Amino acid sequence: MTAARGESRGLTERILAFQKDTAALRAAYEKALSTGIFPQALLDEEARLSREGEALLARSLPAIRRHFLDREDIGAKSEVLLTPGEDDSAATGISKERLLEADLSKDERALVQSLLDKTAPEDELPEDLEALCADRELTVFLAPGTDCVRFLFTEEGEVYLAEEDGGWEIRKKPLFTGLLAQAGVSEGDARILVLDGDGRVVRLSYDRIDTPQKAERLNLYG
Amino acid sequence: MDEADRKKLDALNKAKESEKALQKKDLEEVLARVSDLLLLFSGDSRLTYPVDERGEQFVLDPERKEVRVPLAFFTSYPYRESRFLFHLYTALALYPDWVRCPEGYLHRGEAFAREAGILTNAFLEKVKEAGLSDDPAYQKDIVYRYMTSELLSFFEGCDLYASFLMVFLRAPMYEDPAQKKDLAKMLLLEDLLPHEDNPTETHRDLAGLLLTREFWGEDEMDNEDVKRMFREPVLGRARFLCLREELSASLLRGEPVTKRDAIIRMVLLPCFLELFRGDLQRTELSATVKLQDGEAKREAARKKRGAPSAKNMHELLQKLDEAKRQRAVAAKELLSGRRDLTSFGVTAEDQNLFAHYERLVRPEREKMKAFWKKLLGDTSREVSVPVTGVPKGTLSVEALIDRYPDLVEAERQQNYKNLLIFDTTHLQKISRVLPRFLDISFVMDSSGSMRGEKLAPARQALAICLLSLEDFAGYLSQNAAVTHEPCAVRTEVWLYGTAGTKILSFSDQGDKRAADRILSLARLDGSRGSTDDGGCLKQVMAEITPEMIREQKAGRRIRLVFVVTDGASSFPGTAKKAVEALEETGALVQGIGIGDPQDAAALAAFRYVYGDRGLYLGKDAGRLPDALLSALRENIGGVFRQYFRRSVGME
Repeated sequence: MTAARGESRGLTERILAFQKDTAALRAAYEKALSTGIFPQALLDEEARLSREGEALLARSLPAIRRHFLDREDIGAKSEVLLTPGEDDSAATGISKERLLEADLSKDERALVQSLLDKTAPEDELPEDLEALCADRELTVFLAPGTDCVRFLFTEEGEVYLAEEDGGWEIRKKPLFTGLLAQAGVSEGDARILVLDGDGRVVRLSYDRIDTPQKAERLNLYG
Repeated sequence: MDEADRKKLDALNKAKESEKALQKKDLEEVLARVSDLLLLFSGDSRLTYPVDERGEQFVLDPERKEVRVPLAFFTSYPYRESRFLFHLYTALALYPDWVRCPEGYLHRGEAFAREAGILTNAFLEKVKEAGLSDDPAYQKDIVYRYMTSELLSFFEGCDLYASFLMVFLRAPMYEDPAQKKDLAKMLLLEDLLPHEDNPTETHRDLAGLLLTREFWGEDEMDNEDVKRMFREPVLGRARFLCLREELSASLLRGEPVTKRDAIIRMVLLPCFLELFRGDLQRTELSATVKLQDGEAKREAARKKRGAPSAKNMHELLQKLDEAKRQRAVAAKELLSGRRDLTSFGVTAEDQNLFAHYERLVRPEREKMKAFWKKLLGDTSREVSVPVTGVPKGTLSVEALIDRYPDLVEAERQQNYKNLLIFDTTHLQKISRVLPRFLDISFVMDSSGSMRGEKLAPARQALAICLLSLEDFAGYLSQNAAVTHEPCAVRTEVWLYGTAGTKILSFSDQGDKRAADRILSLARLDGSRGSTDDGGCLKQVMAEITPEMIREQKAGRRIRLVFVVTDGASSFPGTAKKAVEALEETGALVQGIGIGDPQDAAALAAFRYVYGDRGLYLGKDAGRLPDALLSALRENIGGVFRQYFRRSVGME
């Protein structure tokens, strides 16, 4: 506990120092701009500060994600990868030939195969997330994802997003509605593949803030 | 009103009309005279400059490639040609940049989101101080939108200044002091120079003050803050001069708006932010007062100088952006070989399917290329031809007998020269006669029994044949360029089930052909019911015209028909008749059957219909691509060799 507090105090100091240095840099920059001569030390300092800023942003990514989890333009995207052919009945689903004909990479194909065979292991919900779902009265029957992101499929056909940023949190609005899935498999932190009710393979994804650059581009006011 | 009055009025109207017509003519003359300069500014020789009798503003229409010049603007106040042309040049000055980089103008708000954020932050602090945080008029998204619009109008002002600079660069006569003074007066008339009295909106003047400084000089600037800022040193020069020189250099280099914005961001934007902060300090916030953006005022100013309205400008940029996007797509399609064929009913999935088979058959296709080259090489080789009755070579008994009197005569004269009694072989280049047309029909079974394992080989077989024949057609046209002997290879694809449909036709060209090629693979999906090959062959037959039959019989046109069938024909009698009818026209028919060899009825029907023209592969559908390809190879090879012999006269 004391270690964490010490660390957070260290962080506050780091941020204050960063603010002070940037202000000093800005003044020095204005001065240099008037003559048009930029000393090497100034450029070095700028590079150092931009690295420091990036590091600070990278450290605060979980906090930023938590803060922006409910933003409107989260970049939710659903993309149909594969539809069953005419001779593929609903019972048999997508045939092997059809899968071979699809324009997919080797890894994607293997993933889709495991999805079709339903051999991917069922993901158990972490306990605290399960408690959260119970609070929100969500009846989750499928929750593919990774250790830090889960796509929660409810029986009403809504897909909610849950992120682990120092504690699980569920996005207030659903990412997608009217989507029922038979099976799902994670394809990375922000992407999953699901087999939907019509036997189609659909890729669901959203724009996760996972780099300092993405955090920097966030619109704070719009 | 009596008759005389009416006549007077008519005459007056007529005079007015003719006056207008005259003015229009004048204007057109002026435009024709300066067409070179207009081209210099617009950079687009396709632009035309029609005179618009009704409009009041310059309208650029990138789709129709025209700039409508407003007659009303031309006649509204005392006309001076230099002033008029200045307007026209200014309207065109940034046109090349709009065409090249429309997104730079359209997405400026996003590029300067950070600055808008800084301003919003400062404003919200002020709101907080005033205790109005909960006021609906000062919510962060509203404030942010307001700040973005303020920034955008600042940049619009800078664009105007940039377009003036462009005119100075391209038409230096306006740099002349007398001309400049005249322009200065004109700008004053048009309300372009700022005279903002509101102490809380001085930031809105900044862009306009650039014009005041440019045309009237430093002394006429009434804003002391800005005067000081313009004098401050930046990059070793006064800020204003620095900005002017850097912008001019950038314009001369033909750099896009993004580069220009970067210069403004460095040199002038800090002043804007500083002025804004000063304004903010002087502002007194009161509850629920709507933030006033000066849009109405700016729109009036635009109208006064004949510039396009904000809406028109936005539409123009969007059209240009769309055009640019289309150019990019076209270039990408050209590079990747994939075209947008959605208008022909080709989905992305179909394209993927075709691409898959194209990749799959690539090795086989490369092998076939060698075959085609060899085939063409065979037809153009030199051959040894025996020649008798020549003065050199080995003695020929036949020639000796024929020419015996000559020999007797020669003996008498003791002169054995020029005795044509020998024979030899000469290498002779053969004049090739190729068929004029090579028409190849693929009649593919798409009946329900094709579903499952047989579909993929059938598609593969069709893909390799179509693609390889394209290669062959390419070689033939190269060959034709050398030998002046064109031979057109054309393919068509029929799919049949209960009924036959032509998917790819001989007459398809360009995108349509590319689309139908893809569709003939995608529609080969075993969804067509029973197996009526006879009906489909009848349809193929029906498209052969009497002229084609004549050509086929004369050997100028070769017609090959490949039928891929599976299972028993539903009507073997019709099928057999159709095949025989086709053969009678001079076409070559080749049937390839796949199916269970234990199914005696199917086998018997196949043998009955195709006889020795048929090849029954049995259950192994995987052999279909090879079988179809080798049938194609043999038939075309046979035809070409036959022509080769015919032309040499060996038969």
